[in-house]
Amino acid sequence: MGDLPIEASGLVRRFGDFVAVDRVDLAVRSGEVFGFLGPNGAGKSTTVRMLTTLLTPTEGTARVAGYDVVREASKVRRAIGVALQDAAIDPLMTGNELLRLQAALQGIPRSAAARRGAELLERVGLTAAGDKRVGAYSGGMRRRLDLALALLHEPRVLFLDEPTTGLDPSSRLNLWEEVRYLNSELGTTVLLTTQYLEEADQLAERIAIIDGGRIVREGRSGDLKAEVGSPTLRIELADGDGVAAQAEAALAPFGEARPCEAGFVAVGLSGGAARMAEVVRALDEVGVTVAGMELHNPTLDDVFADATGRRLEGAAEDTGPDEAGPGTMGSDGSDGRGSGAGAGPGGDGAGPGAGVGGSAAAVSAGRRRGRR
Amino acid sequence: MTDAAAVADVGRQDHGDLTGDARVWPVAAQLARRSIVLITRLPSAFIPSVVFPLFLVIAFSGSFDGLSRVAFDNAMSWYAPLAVIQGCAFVGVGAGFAASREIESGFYDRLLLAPTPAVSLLAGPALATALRSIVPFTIVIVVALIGGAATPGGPLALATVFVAGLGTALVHTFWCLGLAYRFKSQRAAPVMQIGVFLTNFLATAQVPLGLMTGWLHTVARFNPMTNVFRLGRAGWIGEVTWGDCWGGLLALAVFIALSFWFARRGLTKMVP
Repeated sequence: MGDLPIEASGLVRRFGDFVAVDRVDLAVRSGEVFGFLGPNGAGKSTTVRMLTTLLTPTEGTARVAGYDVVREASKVRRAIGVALQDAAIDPLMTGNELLRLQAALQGIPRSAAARRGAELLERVGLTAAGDKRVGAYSGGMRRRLDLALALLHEPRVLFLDEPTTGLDPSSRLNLWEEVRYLNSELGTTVLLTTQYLEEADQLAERIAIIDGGRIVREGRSGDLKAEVGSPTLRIELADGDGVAAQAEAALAPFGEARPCEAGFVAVGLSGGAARMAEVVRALDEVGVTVAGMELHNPTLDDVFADATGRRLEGAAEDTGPDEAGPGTMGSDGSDGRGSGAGAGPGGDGAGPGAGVGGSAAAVSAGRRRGRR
Repeated sequence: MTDAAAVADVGRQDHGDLTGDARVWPVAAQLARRSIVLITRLPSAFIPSVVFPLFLVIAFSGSFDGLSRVAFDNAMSWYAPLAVIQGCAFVGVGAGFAASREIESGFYDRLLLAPTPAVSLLAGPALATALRSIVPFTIVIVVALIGGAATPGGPLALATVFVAGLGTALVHTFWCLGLAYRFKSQRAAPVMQIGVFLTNFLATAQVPLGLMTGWLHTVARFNPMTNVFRLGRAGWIGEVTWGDCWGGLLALAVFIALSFWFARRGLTKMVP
């Protein structure tokens, strides 16, 4: 398999005239967790479907576990585990029935399958629910079952397509822990797609940001953020968009404008927090009233915005883990498997707090979660 | 130990090589087993293939009893094989419906991701169809015999109608799987059903060839399903003769082969 269990070169997938994936190159190293980050419709799942042999590339080549995904599809399937976005599990079947079916599909001998299945169910906290129909499972339980099914044959390469979408914060944290341990203890190479900034930041050693079918940035999270450079100062305008042009003109000397939502202006603040007072004075001089300000270090959202000119869709939903705290899987209605996962991991915003008091602006700055 | 650590611990245990070659029959058997189990969990998906043929045999034999004087000796004996064949055809259509539903829901991806020969994904539904066909066959035959159907051909009559029903079920299973693989959604359902009605009712489903006239007579004469109905009625309308059977057997063999090819080609087009 060499040192690159997942390799793709010039991967293209068209659906009629629509180009879903456009010349994607990938090189995922052995034992790595690789994050594939992008908004809905960016081409993440289509890429995964090609890499997992479910979809034939229109152009380009890809090798997974050392095998060509088109010519040696069966060998690829034997080497990989896949937990797909839609949690491909039949709600009418029980967890145990699905494990038996999965074992047969993977050619695992019956005795080994029974032992391995029971162990995996126990470890993902679903032993008690093993004979219950999956339709009665919570979202978190389904994802855990899906993960157990994907791991049944001990794959060398694991594909997780948006594994935590729709999960509550506690379940999300738990799944993150499992992915970390699978990677660190078993050395399983993991390709993880996500639309959550935090998830990519927390789990992935390297990240590829995909938008419109193309990879727009690739590298280590820290390196990508460093490329963005100066921290972003985001200013809420008291008078809304009506004064946005004036505000942008006043901010131009402080750095380049950055994308943000309506009613706000943003600037890459060269000089950092020390210049915030200057900014407030400059806005005051042109008659712009500031409703709020926040300064944060570059985040993956800034990386995305820098690359695409837009904020990442769905980022506003990414409030999860910080709200979770220590806990169990109980909140998803499961059988109360203790997670042991602690408080939410730090976000991608770890910015220096900087506040400026004053009548012109109520300023808040500092740690910033993902946002639109 | 956290749950995650425990998951990792599972992986460290010695299970030997768990990545074997999935063989056709164990996979097919599991898929068939699942299909049978799902009858009890989703009866609404199976009930039509039982209720419809029952309705058919009771309604038609009552409505067309008058034909007994000119066309056949016993209306129930004429319509019971039709009901069995029709019921079995709908069992096959049900396999196609299920595949469409599972392709749409994403469950089928699990099957497509398996390193198992493609033929096992066809053999599973075929095996399930064969087992499921026993239900409409048994119910219709019991009702027909209670209702006065005669079998001049003796016990062989049961074999001929079962073979005709089973063969028809397999043809429709493969045909409908092929459609499911091409449509990749439940939009395939109407096309699947139309296949049953077109082939059956443009043949000698309701009345003997001799009573048909015009274009319908011509179409029915050349429709291979006419031979299948002749096979199914062998032993119910007169004795079982080779002359009544060979045409149906040949038609079924050819159509099973063609529909299997259609399904297999659709499956291999879906995934490399």
